[in-house]
Amino acid sequence: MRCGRKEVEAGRKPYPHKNVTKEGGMMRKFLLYSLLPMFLGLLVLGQGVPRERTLVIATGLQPSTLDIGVGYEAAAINVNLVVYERLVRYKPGSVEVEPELAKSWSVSPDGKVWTFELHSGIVFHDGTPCDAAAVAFSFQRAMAINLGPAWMLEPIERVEAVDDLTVRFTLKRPYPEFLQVLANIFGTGIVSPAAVKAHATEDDPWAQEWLSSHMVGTGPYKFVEWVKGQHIILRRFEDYWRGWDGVKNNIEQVIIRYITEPSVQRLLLERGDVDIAMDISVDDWELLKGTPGIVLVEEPSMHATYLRFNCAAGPTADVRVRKAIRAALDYKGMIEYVLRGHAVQMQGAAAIGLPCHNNELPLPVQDLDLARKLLAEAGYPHGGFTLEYVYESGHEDRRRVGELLQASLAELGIALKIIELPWPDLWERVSAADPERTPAIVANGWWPDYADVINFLYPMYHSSQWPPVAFNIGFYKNEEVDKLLDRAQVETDPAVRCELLKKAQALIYEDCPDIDLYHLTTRIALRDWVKGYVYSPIYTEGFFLYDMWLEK
Amino acid sequence: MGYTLLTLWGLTLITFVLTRVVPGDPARIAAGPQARQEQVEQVRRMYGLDKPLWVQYGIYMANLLRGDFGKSLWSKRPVIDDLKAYFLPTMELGLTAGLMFFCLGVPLGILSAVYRNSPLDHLSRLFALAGVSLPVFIFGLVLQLVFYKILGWFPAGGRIDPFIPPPRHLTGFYLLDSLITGNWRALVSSLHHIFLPAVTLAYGSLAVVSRMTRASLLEVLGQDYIRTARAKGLAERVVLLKHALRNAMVPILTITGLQIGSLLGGVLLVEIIFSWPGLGTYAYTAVTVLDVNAIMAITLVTGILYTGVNLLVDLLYTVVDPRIRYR
Repeated sequence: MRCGRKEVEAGRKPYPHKNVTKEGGMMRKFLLYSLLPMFLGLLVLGQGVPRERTLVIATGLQPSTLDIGVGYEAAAINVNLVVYERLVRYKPGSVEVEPELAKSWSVSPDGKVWTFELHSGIVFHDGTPCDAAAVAFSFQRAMAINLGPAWMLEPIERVEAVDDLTVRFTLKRPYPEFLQVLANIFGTGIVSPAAVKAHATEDDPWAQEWLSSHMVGTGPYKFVEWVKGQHIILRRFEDYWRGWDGVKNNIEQVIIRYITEPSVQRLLLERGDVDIAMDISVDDWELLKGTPGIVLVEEPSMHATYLRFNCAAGPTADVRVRKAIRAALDYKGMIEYVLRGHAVQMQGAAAIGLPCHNNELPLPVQDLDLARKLLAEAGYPHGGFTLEYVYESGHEDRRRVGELLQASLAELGIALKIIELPWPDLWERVSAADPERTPAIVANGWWPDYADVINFLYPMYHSSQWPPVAFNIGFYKNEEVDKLLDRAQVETDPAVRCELLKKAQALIYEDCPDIDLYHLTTRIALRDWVKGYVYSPIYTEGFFLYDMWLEK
Repeated sequence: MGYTLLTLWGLTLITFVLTRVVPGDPARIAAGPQARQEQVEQVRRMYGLDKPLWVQYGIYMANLLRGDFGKSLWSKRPVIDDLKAYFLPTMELGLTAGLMFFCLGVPLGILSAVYRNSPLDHLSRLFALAGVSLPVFIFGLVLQLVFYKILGWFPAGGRIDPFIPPPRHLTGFYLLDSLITGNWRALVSSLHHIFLPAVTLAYGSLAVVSRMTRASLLEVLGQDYIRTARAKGLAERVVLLKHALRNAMVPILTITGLQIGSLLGGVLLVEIIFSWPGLGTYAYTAVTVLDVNAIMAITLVTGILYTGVNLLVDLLYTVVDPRIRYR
């Protein structure tokens, strides 16, 4: 074979200027034998691209869409927060609202007309100016698409540009939490109208298809590329309106890598191939403690986990049975053993730390004598019934809480049947309008969209929100609570509104439509060369990158 | 061929019915957890989910014949876009692993057949036993630990170094694209990244194929015509490769086809361990959010691949054994 090829080559004389002789063959052999190890060497040493000015974040959650008017999932928070900007935002590390694109605002005495003054000189990543018309356009777009986050914009009647830098919202009703809604991360970011118009088609007037995988905002970082399943790359936007002079930020590029396996995130972090890891498992968290060069940040989140009772059918329709079950659960064991300390027990139905949270409510404790007494009053002195406990697949914590409750209830003569269901099936069971089909206990979770307790109370406890409408899945109804929430929805005096909401929380606690379990903590592991990170209790997965820098 | 098409049509029908009868309302999930009823209805109309089932199926099939898989309810993009992004990496990994186990498994099997009962044969048997009994996720994690964490020779995950721009899209296979465009940095990085996941995926099948080759070859080597060939004075190499191996090839090809099928299952696990941007995670999300159009497309494409491989194996039989003919 080899011989034959040589003849052909000699015959064709492919390199007439070179003398193909025996020496040439040896040369080739030499090249082969010297290049092969070099190639293998390259394979091994292929890494090592300079990256002092790049921040690499590892996360397991990839957004399904990048469209700011459509996306409604935690996975989009990190990109939304730095590529898009809102009129107002939550101050880093707090739930207080502060200006972002708007420098000031005013509201009419009836609470229905809001006027915002914009900063001047803001430009989009495509170079077009961001003025009042662009702001109005973004809201009109989200409202017209009417998906995902659009429910929060429902009270808006119209939004218009008064002049270049003034934008006015006219509302259908007073909307006391409007500022909070504007600061939320979903649906309120301002997108470039020029980019939307350039990619709109007849079937797709709002360019949803293009914007589902591209972003054009005004933030400090611009979108470069999304290689699906692998990474999103952002680059520093040099014309950012706040400017780059005098800031410590030296991050020129951000790579968000999608690393599905948490243990691999840990390996990457340890070797310094990523700077931030978002999904360190509880076991790895313990092992990473004390590792030089790694900083662990753990903060309570606003995420709430509940056990929701069926208040309209079965034994749990009796408030005494519900309270007996609440008294039966071992809360200390739940936090210490089930969650291994990575959670905080809830106080009432709304998240601790929110304005107007009622911090006078008692924290439930295990009291089996009280539970027995309540059951006897309800006519079940020896228990003697079976309850269904349903939770969503993948939530190990909720399964183990179920087992904990099962053990306590067994002492009271109540059998608990624990059922695991995938989300669509669970949703099907709890969204039926018939309480007879709803399980006695459903373990479920709640993320607030914005920092206001009404975002917990109205959807889950107002009787207008019974299935199939929304999240009052246990068919809870208390007319007094309904009235308080109705008033809080339009009350413009913050102090009065706070009183209404606190009272509603107290009444809900008394009626016990659910057991308020815990707030899970958010755990983020960083290399110590990442500086300036501040945890945000609302934008939990987000980073205020403009205020951050690297010291490698 | 006709049989293959019939199989695929049956597949569309079954998945269509299955995605429609499982509990859960796709429109409700797509509209968002807090959507009002009217928003849900809007989504239902937008995706034609309000029409009777048989009309929906008719529309689906008509679109499918034009190569249109519909839009994803979850990402709101055409399913074909997402499919291209996730399917090609899975194919690349699967084919690399397939090539790896076939090209290493067959020679290994030949060697242990020739040097039967020698230490080499015993070693290869041990190697095969380990390959069959090691679960892929444990093997993958061990490789990561050794070659990434301890030695630092190979990356722990991904398809290419994020600091290196991926090669220009021609075939969608990074290895081929970077080779065609002469993008050596991308080629080295892609090779570097595909190595551990491909080894993880290939190991189990390699073991099976090498044992099968050994057994099949030993059986053939005992036949009369081999003795005749040797008696003719043919070189042992010719006897082995031309007379024996060719006749031993039919069962080897069969097992290879089956192994490629099982690779499709294993690839999903390997993708998760090595953050390989393939169909695995995409399929998982599609199922959990009941993205009916995406589920249908994934099932169909996987089905096409599986039947395609089987068809290819059937056709290869005729090449290695001219006595087999299809009418």
